[in-house]
Amino acid sequence: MKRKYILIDCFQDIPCNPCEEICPHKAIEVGSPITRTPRYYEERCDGCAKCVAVCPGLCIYLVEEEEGSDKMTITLPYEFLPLPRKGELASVLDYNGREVGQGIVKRVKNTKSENGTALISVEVSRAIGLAARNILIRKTDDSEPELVEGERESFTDFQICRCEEVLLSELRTLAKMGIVFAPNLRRFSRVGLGLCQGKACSELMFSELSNITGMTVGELGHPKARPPVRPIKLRELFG
Amino acid sequence: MEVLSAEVAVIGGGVIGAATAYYLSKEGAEVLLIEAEDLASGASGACDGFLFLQSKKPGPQLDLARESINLFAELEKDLDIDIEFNRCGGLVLAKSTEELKALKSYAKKMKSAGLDVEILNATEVKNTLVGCSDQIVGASHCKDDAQVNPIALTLGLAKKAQDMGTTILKKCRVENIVIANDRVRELKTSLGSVHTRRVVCAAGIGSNQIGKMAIIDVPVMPRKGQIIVTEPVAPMLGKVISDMEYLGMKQNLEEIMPKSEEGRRLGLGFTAEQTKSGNILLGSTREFVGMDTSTTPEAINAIAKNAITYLPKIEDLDVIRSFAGLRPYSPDGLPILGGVKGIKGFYLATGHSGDGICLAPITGKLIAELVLDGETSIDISPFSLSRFK
Ligand SMILES: Cc1cc2nc3c(=O)[nH]c(=O)nc-3n(C[C@H](O)[C@H](O)[C@H](O)COP(=O)(O)OP(=O)(O)OC[C@H]3O[C@@H](n4cnc5c(N)ncnc54)[C@H](O)[C@@H]3O)c2cc1C
Ligand code: SF4
Ligand code: SF4
Repeated sequence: MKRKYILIDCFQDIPCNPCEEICPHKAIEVGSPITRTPRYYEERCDGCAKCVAVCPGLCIYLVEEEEGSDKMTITLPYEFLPLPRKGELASVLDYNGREVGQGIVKRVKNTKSENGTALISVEVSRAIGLAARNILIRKTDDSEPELVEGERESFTDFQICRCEEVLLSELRTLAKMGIVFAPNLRRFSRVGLGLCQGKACSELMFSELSNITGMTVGELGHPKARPPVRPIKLRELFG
Repeated sequence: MEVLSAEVAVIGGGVIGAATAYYLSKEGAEVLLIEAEDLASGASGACDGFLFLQSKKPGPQLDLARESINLFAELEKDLDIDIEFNRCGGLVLAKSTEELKALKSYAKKMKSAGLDVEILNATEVKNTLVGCSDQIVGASHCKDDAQVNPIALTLGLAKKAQDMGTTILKKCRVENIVIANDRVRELKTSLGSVHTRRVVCAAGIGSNQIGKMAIIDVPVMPRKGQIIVTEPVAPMLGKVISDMEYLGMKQNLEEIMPKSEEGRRLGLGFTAEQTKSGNILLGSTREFVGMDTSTTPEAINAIAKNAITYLPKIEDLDVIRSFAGLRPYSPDGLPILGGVKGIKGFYLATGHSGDGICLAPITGKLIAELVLDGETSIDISPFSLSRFK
């Protein structure tokens, strides 16, 4: 008997629900208010791993296990370059980034539809499987990691703000038009103006922007933080 | 910065400055747009996008607004950025028979000024605005009211002006104006000197200070407006919407101003519009609190409460943001347009109060005509600075 299910490390009441939206089988429910943490219905899940790739917090993992086998396969989201390769030996890290063992990379999936988030499946022993949260490929020498052809290109654009679906390339276009000061960039591109209110994307936006413009984060200016700090129902606003 | 020169210098990169630069460039002028911060960093980036004919005073202001709406249709085609111009029509809601009576007599005035307004009864309002409150006894509807994305408009105008040759200087503050023999000669800026014989002041709430540099009093003061923003939802409003108190606040009509003490203090008037991205913007206040642009719990609560009395079904929407902007308010709420006696080459395009988005295209066009030809195709004397003397 094969079993496929997901683990969700989503514990904070943040306004976020792409996992609910993307699941074709209604196996994840966030509901309302949107700050609720997700609930998972394993019986509906077919293990497609769409939620693993979409979660902006990188906190969903797919587990595949087979009765009688002492191995299991964990599929995790991976946003570093270079990507690991099939067959490579990987150190397996837990929630706190501590190494808990080793595993073999079995699959590397990196399609456009996943917004640049690659899905890495590693085979690990049952003993550490459920603790696996990330992998690390140890470099044997100091040379520049070589990238598979097309790998860099597939990463040159991604959604910098998932709530408002703003691509990095849109920021680049605005920067070319001279819109670089952060408050305005936010106005024009809507980056950081979505449901998460910039909690998820601000850091990324600033580092990418200073890459694009050569300006320091300080020079880019800070947009004003405005209430409410998390979504609140209109009717709750007075009373 | 080396010494710059320009045929025309425009001070202010808000919607008014951007529109002025656009129409000047269109006529082939060599323009320098000087902005202290960044494009749309003032009122034009913190406002609604109502193009609301019904709220304009019948007379010269309404005439300007109607001309402006026609220009929006042209801009929509000419600009390279989608300005989200939407001829959605607008409603003014009445929630008591007294308000409805006042609205009817006001609608008469608008009609005789040539505006296409109709009065809707309670049932007709219900059919137009699904889910609105039972308290609404009637409304006026004008199909020519519209909306636009003010930020896209400002950026679109500036970008096109730039493509036609306008130079845009950002993070550059005008600090003084050199006038000799009754003529503008030079601007002193934080980045250096600009030689120019023609200057347009489109500095929004900074216009009073610019005036001081030319030793004239430009009576523009900041009037804060706060707005709350809901999560994006499927189209549900259809129209731009306001209430009678909004009309009362805008036109200084005592009989329809807010009744509650809080409403008066905040200058509360109800507005609601849904943007193309689906967010609903709910407004707004009219407060004299200097340069303060903070949002306050008191105002946010009052806006929410007001909104729910008109649109009960939005109470379950999430509010995700609030913001505030400073309207360049003039004592009579009308813009201040045109030249200034005794200073050749100095033009004012400011004081648009709560109507600057709506009036931007026509302002830009008329000021460009004035600067380049010395006369305008529409009489702007009702908007001259000298009316305040
Ligand atoms: C809450 C709110 C809602 C509104 N809703 C609507 C609406 O629905 N419809 C509508 O038509 N209007 C609306 N308005 C009004 C509209 O926003 C303003 O009338 C309009 O934006 C004014 O444009 P502006 O270009 O004159 O001023 P601003 O956009 O403020 O631009 C002035 C610019 O000048 C620059 N500046 C100032 N001093 C200097 C200097 N010394 N040197 C260089 N640069 C300088 C500033 O940095 C600023 O960018 C609203 C306003 C608010 C606040
Ligand atoms: S793996 Fe696929 S089916 Fe299962 S919860 Fe995630 S998205 Fe839904
Ligand atoms: S997408 Fe990720 S962070 Fe967002 S609610 Fe789902 S599990 Fe939590």
